[in-house]
This record gives sequence, C-alpha cells and structure tokens, in this order.
Amino acid sequence: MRLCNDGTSYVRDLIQKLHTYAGLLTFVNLMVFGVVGLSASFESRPGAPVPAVRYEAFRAEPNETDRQVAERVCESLHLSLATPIQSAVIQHDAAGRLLLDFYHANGRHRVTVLEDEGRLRVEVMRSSFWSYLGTLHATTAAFHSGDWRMQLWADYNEFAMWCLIGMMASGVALWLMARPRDRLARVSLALGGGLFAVLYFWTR
Amino acid sequence: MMYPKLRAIHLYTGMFCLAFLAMYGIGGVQMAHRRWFPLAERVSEQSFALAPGIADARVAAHELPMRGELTSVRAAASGLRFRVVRPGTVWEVDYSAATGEARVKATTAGFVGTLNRIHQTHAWPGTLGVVSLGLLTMGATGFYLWLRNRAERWIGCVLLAGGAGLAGALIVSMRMG
Repeated sequence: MRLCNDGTSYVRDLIQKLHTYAGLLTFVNLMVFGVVGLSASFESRPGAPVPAVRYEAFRAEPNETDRQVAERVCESLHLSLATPIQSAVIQHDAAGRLLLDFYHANGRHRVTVLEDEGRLRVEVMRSSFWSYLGTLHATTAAFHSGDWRMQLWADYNEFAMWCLIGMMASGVALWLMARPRDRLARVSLALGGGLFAVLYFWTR
Repeated sequence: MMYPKLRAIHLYTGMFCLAFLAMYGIGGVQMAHRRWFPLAERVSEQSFALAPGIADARVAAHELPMRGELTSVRAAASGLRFRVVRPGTVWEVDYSAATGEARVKATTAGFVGTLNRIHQTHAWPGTLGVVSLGLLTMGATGFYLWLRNRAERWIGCVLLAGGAGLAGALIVSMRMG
C-alpha cells in the first residue's frame, strides 16, 4: 500500500513539475493567447488604417523580371517579414505599372514602381499592436517565413500550443490525483462544459 | 493563507475554462496542421420552391429554412446566388427568378471543422473574453504558486528567463521592423 502511495506521489510530482515547467517556458506565448482573445472579444471591426504615403528613389534595371524588382524593393524597404514573396504580391495597376502589395505582421506596404520617375510610391498601413499580436498568436510551424525571427517565433509558438494542450491534460490529471472530490472543481467543470455544450448546439 | 486560495482559484478557473481551451487548442492544431487533421466535409443538395420573381437575396434567404449570415450575394442572369453561413455549415443557394426554384448545396464540416470556424470567427465574443481572462488569471496564479515553491525556484527562473527573454525579444524586434 505504501509502495503504491509512493508511486502515485512520484507520478504526481513529476506531472506537477512538467505542468509548471511548460507554463514557465511558454509564459509569454500563453499571455499573448489570452491578450489576443480578450482584445478580439472587445474589437469593433476597426476600419483599415489610414495609409502614410512616402516616396523613395528606386531604379529598375534593364531586363529585370517583375519578381527580381519585387525582391529588390522588398530588400530596400527592409520588409523581411513579408518574405518569401508570394505570387499574389506582384500585380499591375490600371496604368500597367508594377504594383507590389506586401502583407506582413506589422500591416501592409503597397508599393507602386514609378519607373519613369525613378522612384517608388510607398503606402504604409501599420496595424495596431493588438492586431500584430493577433497575427503572432496564429503563426505556427506550418508557416514558412523568410525572416529568421518570424520562423523562430513560429516554431516556438507551435511548441507553446502543444504545451497548452499538455497543460490541460496534466492539469486534469493533477486534479484527479490530488483533489478529485473537490466539489467546487466539479461544479466549475460542469458549468464550463455545460455552457460549452449549450453554445455549441445553439451555434449549430 | 494566500497560497490555498490562489491554488483553488487556479484549479477552478482551469476547470471552468477546460472545454473552451480544449476547443481553441484543438482548433489551433487543426488549423496549423491541415494535412495531419483534414476536415471531413459532407456535401448534400436540396431544392426548395419559392415564389418566382424575387429580386432581393434577403427576401429569398428569409424564405428558406436555414438560418445564418447572408454573404456573397451575386445577381445572376437567371436570378440570384448567395450564401448563408453558420459556423461549420455553408449553404450555397442558386435561385431561379423564372421558376422560383432554389437549389441549395450544403457543405457541412464535422465537429472539429465547426470548432475551427468558431475559433476563427470569434463566434462567442463574450465567452471568448471570459475564457481569455481565465487564461490570464491562470497565468498570474500559476506564477505565484511557482514562486512560493522554493524547490522549483531556480530551475523555474532559468526556464522563465529563457522563454520570456526569447519570446519578448522576438516580439519587440519584429515590431520594430
């Protein structure tokens, strides 16, 4: 009996350690999930941010392809977060000018290459900090970025997502091992589960 | 005194939020790994007889038995085309003004697909706010509980500093450009 209790206690301590370590290691990501959820529940569909327009000198080289121009523009504007450049980025406006529509975590850069004038027209629409965090919370390892910081974040956030799932499982295990008869815990679980079921069937 | 209270808050908050956090967690994993967890969609078709000559999609949608958000309205040569969307189900309607026939194609995602849509569309904003607050509360109380556990303090400090340092540096660095 004593052996059995010791074994249970050992497993419980181990699960508690893993639960705590996972939470500490991914603390910022979990807080980002919470803050993004909170801001999403209060958001009132904000309109597109007002673009700030500026011009920058740029000369397209002879025989350069549109993609090569796009890559040079991206580099000159330091838009590594918008890489790799997707085909949808490369467009042409009604006047036939090259139009580059870069989307990234910080918002959007809409660039018109004014070849005759030897410059770029750059419209910058910077997203809010909450919108930025919203993009980050949804960025996981399935996402492939040309920016090493974003790729590292994506991998780390993926880890945090799995940790959250692991913490839910370990949290339930700890409850069942340590305080399974706690009445308020049961009531909380029933209330949350019940509310979830009602909302799910109402939504369907 | 404080420790048992905060431990209880941590537990009760977690229990209350469990189903919702599982939904967001599973939905997140499904969205991130669609090839691992492909959505099983079912498609069915049905016809309904409406009054002929309806030129307003809102009127036509109101006459149909399905309820949801009216989207993608297009006036076609023969009548109207529109969609009615609910989390997990999309009805594509092709209405003929001449005959009054509405052909409806229903695409229904399974349980996980519905959870996925609820996650993406913030379909339950009030609950999302409560659960998010719950997650933040669990973070704060969990932090306190760890801090009071002397045996785990050093290794915890290393993990927290490493994780928070990396994540914080990346968030700030990418925001700066």
